[in-house]
Amino acid sequence: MNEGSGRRSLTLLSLGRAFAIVLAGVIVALPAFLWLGPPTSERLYKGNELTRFAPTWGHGLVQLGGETLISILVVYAARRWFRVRL
Amino acid sequence: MSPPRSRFALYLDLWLLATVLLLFAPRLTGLPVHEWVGISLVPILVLHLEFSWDWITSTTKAFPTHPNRRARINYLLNWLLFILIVLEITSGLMTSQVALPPFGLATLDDRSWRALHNQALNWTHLVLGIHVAMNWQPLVLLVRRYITSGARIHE
Repeated sequence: MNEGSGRRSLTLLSLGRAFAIVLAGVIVALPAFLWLGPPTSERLYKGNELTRFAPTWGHGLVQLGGETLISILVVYAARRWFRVRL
Repeated sequence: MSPPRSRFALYLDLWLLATVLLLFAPRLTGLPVHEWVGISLVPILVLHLEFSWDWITSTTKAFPTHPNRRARINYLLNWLLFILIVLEITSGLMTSQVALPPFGLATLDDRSWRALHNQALNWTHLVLGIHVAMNWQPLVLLVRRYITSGARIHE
């Protein structure tokens, strides 16, 4: 009984925290929405994104490798040259 | 944090990093998978933040008077990363072409939202790298601990 109520309160606590995180997200997103407004057809992008991002192994792996390499470089530069640490 | 909990947190961090790297490569996944993986980032991110909740609350309370300057910078950096990822997700949802329209949610490939999505991406790349660099030592310690404890189990 005690274990059950403990688990329930832990779930409620967890849900409360999740709500707080989502609320913080909404607070961050709201100014962007007020600034840009909902998507409109006057600003419609004419290119076809589905075709542009049609998955290909060669292109895709090069992109994944490149992006991963950039991330590694940022981490390396930050730690090695800019002494970023706690 | 208890060992199973910190082990789960470690797996979650690695999963989150892998998800973000995959999102950086839409040419590998294609747009539909890119959009769904982006949406799946929300619960992973919420869990990641829940696991850091004690740190978030204690640092928020101590922030103005915290004696460690690096801890204060880390706190601000984490907020910046949160803001950037929220902007990424929001702009991605606004311009969704595959994931949201079947649910009756009207979205358009709007140039302004698209520009926000692409510009926030560059900053996310940079801030994410600094975030990983800043938390590198605790992450390495955690990984080492599990490698050695795993080795002991197999002995």
